[in-house]
Amino acid sequence: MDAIHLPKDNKFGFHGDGGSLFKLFIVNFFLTLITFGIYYPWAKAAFLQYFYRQTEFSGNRFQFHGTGKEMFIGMIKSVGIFLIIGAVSAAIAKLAEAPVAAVIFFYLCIIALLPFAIVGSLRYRLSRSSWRGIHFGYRGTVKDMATVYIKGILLSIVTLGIYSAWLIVSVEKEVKSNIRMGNLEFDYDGKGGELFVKFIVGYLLTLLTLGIYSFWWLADLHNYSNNNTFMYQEGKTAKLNSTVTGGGLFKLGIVNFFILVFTLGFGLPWTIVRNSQYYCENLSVEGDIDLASIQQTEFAYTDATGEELADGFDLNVI
Amino acid sequence: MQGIYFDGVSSQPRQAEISIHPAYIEIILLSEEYTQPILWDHARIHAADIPGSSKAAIKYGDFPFQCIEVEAKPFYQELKEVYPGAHYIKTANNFFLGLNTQWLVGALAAMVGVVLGFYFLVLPFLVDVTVDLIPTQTEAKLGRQMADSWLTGTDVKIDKERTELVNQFYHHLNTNSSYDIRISVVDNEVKNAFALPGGQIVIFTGLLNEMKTYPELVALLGHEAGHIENRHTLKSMIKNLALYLCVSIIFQDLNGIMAVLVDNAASLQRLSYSRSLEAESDEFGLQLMLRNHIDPKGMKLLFERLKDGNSKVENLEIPEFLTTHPSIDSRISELENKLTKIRPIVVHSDSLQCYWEKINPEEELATDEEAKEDEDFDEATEEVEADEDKPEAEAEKAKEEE
Repeated sequence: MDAIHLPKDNKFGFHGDGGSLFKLFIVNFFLTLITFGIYYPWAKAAFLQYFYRQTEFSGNRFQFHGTGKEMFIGMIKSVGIFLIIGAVSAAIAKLAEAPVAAVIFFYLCIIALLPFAIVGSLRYRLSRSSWRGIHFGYRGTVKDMATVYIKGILLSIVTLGIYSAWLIVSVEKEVKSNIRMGNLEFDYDGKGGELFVKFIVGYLLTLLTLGIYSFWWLADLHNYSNNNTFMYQEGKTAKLNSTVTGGGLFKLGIVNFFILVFTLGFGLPWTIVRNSQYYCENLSVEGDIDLASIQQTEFAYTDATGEELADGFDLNVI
Repeated sequence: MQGIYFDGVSSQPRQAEISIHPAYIEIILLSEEYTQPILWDHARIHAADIPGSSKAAIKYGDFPFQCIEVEAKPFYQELKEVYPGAHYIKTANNFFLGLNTQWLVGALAAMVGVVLGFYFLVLPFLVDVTVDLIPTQTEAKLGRQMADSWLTGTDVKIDKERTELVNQFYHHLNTNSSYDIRISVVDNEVKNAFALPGGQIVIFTGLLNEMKTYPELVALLGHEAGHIENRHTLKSMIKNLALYLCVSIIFQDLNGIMAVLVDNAASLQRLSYSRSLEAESDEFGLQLMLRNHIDPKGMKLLFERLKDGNSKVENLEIPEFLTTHPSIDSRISELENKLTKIRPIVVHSDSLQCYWEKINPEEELATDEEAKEDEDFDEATEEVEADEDKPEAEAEKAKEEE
């Protein structure tokens, strides 16, 4: 690894505090409750805006530009899509008297929507994210994502799950290689074989240590994903450098557990802040890219459907 | 005010002097050859969360947005002074986020007050109402199911012989119970016993072996029967269930952790009752003893033996006992207090003694000291022992005295 060391400030940092996040949660919770959930997209926007604003890289904060209104429209669309699928499934079950076919139809629709949801979510979320005024963007297509998924799922079934390590790598490659930040291009260089070895070793050691190794396993996987993420700009290269350790995650997890237990769950915002601080403080960028010369290239996308579909599927895409 | 300006075209940060005017925000770039100040019309500034975080980012115009990063506090201060009606300060969240600490502490205290009020006033009321609605048969059925599933667990060994004997022992008493009491003796070191709703009592051999005389067993059974008769277990269970429901409604996402917590709290052996419920059961046990002319000192003996036995054993076992029967000293003094006010008629029962000797054969191996104790015990009850054949008459006498 021939990394060129940039000044220390090429690090990430998280400046949120439990108190203000707690206030945000209380307000979100209260307003979502009294509006019977309609406020949810605004609550989510408020949280994301707060979260991005508190995340710093190289001295400047990230910004989330998405609004509750955009996400509300997205929510309406995705609820509509789900209602249509549900209604058609119910019609197949009732009118055609084929309940098994109805269930299969329902799940096939969900599987077919998955690539749309992922790509839509990435497009929306990244287009609404910026740093130093430069917006992120996603260039991937549904067709490519669907190809990666279908190939991966079929091969995983044929190989009795062994291929899943390669599937994860290929999805991560498809996602990251299509991310842009202005004229900065991202890429991913993980190897299925390496990840497979990590899966096997991690699994066995976790079993042998009665679960304790899982923290080290998690750290290893987290670092592997980040340390294989590269950025290119006009012939210059940089990569993410993650230094999360198993011991660190262990301490983090134990303390968070006690915070949650002793505050009867009210400490959740503080645990989120602790996690974010830990992961950010252990993340930096190494390389010779000039962070002051990134040029704006992306357009603002207006379709927010993907975001809410991903929510419906409970995908955690950032 | 100092800040950093981004033009939305490149990622070049530019140091800037920012000042707020009633009609616009003026941005003067410091480091470079830009001499012309940048002017932002307030009307085209986008909504932003300004208070509540250390740094604020404010963006302007159409995409690609120009943007400034400033320290939130001084910017907000100046904005309030110069242009208080700024539309771009978001209101819904900022109203709460901008609240001062005192206000927040007050609101939190009020919230805690509401929670405590609910826990101590509303919840017990709801529990009582719910318990009253559950018929005795349903309770008995529930108790049987719980007992069946618990007693058939892999690590539970039932002492069949002693179970049979203790049941016979109990049914030999005049119990006056509206529930069909069924007792199970479980082979385990634990010095404990507990009651399930609807008539199921579980005694661990650890506690049974500790006892030396049959009045102690009567006291224990009477106490546990008191829990059943007063539906304490059902009340506690419903209270836990209600709490679990409330908690999972409030913390939708956390119910995994909460379920574990509540499950632990509700686990049968650790089921703890409040002081008042324990007192109620003690009273029930005492009445049972008096009705059957059994020496109420047996209850005191039981308490004291439990107390001794537990202070002697390793610390590990104390909590188990403490959780089920709290503040044993106060219970002893309360019992003593009651005993000074009543004059119990004690009739030694040969049949109970006979059962007892079968239940706890170790008694025969008692040390001399304990044998002496027993002699004293016998002496004390000698005078009435002669009348053993006429318990009916005694009972009538007792009634008159009451």
